[in-house]
Amino acid sequence: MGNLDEHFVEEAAPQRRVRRGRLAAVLVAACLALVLLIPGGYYLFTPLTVEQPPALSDFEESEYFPIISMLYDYTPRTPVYKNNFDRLLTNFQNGIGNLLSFVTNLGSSSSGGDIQYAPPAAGDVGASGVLTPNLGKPGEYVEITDNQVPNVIEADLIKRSSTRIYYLNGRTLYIYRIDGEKTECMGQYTLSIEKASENVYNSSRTVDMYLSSDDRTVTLVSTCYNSYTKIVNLDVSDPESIRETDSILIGGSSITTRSVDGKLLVITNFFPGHNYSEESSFVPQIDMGSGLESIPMDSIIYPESMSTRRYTVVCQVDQATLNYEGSAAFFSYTTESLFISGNSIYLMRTYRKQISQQGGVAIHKLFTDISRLSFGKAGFAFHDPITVEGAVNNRYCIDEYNDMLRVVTETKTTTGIYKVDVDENGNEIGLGKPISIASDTSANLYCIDLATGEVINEVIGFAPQDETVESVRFDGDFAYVCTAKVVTMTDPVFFFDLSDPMKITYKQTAEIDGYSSSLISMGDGSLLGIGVGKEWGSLKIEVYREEERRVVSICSFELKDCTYSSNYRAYYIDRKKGLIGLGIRLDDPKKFGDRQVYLLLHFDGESLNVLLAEPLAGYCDYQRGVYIDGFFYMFGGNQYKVVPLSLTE
Amino acid sequence: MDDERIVALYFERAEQAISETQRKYGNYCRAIARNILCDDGEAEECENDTYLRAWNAIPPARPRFLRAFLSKITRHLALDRYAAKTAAKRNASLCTISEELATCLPDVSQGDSGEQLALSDAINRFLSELPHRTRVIFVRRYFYLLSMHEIARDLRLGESHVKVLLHRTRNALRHFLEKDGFCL
Repeated sequence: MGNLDEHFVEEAAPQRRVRRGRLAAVLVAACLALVLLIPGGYYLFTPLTVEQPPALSDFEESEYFPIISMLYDYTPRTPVYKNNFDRLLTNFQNGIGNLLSFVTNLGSSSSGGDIQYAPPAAGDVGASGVLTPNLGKPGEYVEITDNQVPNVIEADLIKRSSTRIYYLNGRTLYIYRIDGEKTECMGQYTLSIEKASENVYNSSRTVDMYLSSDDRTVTLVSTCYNSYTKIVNLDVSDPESIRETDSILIGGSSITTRSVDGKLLVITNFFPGHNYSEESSFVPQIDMGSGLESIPMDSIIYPESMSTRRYTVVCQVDQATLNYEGSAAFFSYTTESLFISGNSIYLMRTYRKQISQQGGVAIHKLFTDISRLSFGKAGFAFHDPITVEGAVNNRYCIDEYNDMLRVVTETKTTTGIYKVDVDENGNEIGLGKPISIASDTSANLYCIDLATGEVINEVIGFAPQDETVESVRFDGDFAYVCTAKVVTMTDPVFFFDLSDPMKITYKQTAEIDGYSSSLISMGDGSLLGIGVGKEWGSLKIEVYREEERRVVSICSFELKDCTYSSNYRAYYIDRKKGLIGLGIRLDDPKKFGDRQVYLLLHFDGESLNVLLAEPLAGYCDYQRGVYIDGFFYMFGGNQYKVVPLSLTE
Repeated sequence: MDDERIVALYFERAEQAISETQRKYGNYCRAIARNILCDDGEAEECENDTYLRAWNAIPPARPRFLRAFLSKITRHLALDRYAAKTAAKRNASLCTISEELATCLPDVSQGDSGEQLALSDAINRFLSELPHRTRVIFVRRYFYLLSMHEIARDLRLGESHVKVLLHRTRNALRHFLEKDGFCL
């Protein structure tokens, strides 16, 4: 049979056969895919719709009808996502983003991150210092926070008394006995992640801390999930058995707090929902002693037109007992530049307004309404808003002094050339698409009589063209302003003399490399600026002094390739001893032995000198330091260090 | 690459002829050898030997159907290996096929090459007269040495149908060869 004709062999050659079983499997898979594709495609790509809200007239009987009316027009009638595929894709992208952020942050601290719950480890300690009497027992409150307004206490991650230091790391409070080289942790307390109430959980980061004057109570303010702020009082008389004594819930996420004469002011942001049948959806809730209740309508202040869809909630409680004492809510007010004096809270509402239009050319400017809410024993009292041109960038841009309000604003004038829409008869019906838009920025300073609300004097456009306001500091009769053209990394610093508001004068430096993001008066006529040097990614600390006709730079310290905290509370300022401390993060860990370092400088009146550059755990925003009796104490993450420091007086 | 081009590479004595042959017909030759030898290792050796034989045969041979040409070489090699193996390792299926053929083919192994060529010629004449499907079944069974199950599955026939058809064809072959003067 081996010699068969090749033709017959070729004819009978077995063909490559698709196994019936495999073919059947392929067919089944194809059918299955088809079956899944049709309903799957329907689910993924069918446009989503939003259930239409009830008619506005359905809520006419509601106490909150004015608010509902303003919110109603902004109730979404189109879904957030086009379809389920859009929703799943967005969630997937957000998840990847969060995962990448998490993975990136894993290596962001060489010492394990700034949220640590392990027992703290002492760092290096040097020679013995002065032993503090009444070791570890409650002492007297010692202010170390550089408060903007005297006697208006600001919260911080670090507080101290004469015998103890309190440091807040995430949700955990550590209490240390001040004892130089023998300093040790006496106790700790961690806020548990629990249900504060239905659907309200404690968050992972505590925002603020206060210490009572008798060193026996710590007040913690934390933002919970589901947009509530929880305030908790802890009895720290015995650091080994810290216990929670009182608590209160306030609607909204915490923005800031202040302690004034034993009263705690809590300001939160509350974003309303769209369910107008349920008050808790669109009205801030506060625990007024018998559970969560809606803020009364007569406590809500609102403008005629809405510019932002949120409330600023102001609540006053007794700091010792956390008993509710009053509240107010500002609807459609921003909170980025909120200022609190000894008796008033100033809230800003910045908006853009068209001031002229001719043909296709329209000019817009920024304006800010400054609303004042005074507080005291009589409760809250609202005053008519004051309007200024420009935006108030942060709380240091506004100040109350001698019954006068001083404000520095960053102005922005936008000139736009638009296509003009016309009707069939050729009549103009409005502005169409923009053709070109150009903006000019500068700065203004206002002095306002608080009694009348009138501007009694102003300095208009003092900043060079296209410069922005980077930092401001009011100090009694003086004001210091740093403006900068951030693109070119140069700034002048202005010294204003406001001793006679009717005759305001000012001097300025020449253009200086870099700019200051914080200005601090050192109390001896010199001004300290903390900010960015000539290059991005650098730190520059510079001291200025006023001379007869100008302002000059006395000395400076610059460090390249690092990141510093722009949070003013992260700075340690001791004016008497000329100490300036802050945490920094270095690109090159070899420079000072680690990537995260606490830097302490000394200003001796003529020069800035580095006293310490100590590796310290935690991110620079959360590192803290304090000088006590010959030692410098540093806290970051789960680490603390005590270094002997002798200063020549 | 088509067969004509591969054969041309053999004539050019280009070593690429072997690699192209392996790429196109390697699995095919290995399958033929595996059917006979029931061993992957030995089948692979037969495959490699097939390439050597083809290299030596082409030229002067210029096969019309390269696949069939290679099949015959591989089959020969595999059967020779099989004959050299011990009885304990013998392919049961192959034994059966041999027994079937023994009923219709004369034993010309002891005869001269002329007698063997005559027999091959007679078988080819017989096959040319068969219907196409019958011929394919017959050649798959007795040249490619496939099992009845495999033949029936490939041609979508019942196994008993294949069995009966082969039985009848063997009988017809015996009668054909007897008429041609072969003694069975």
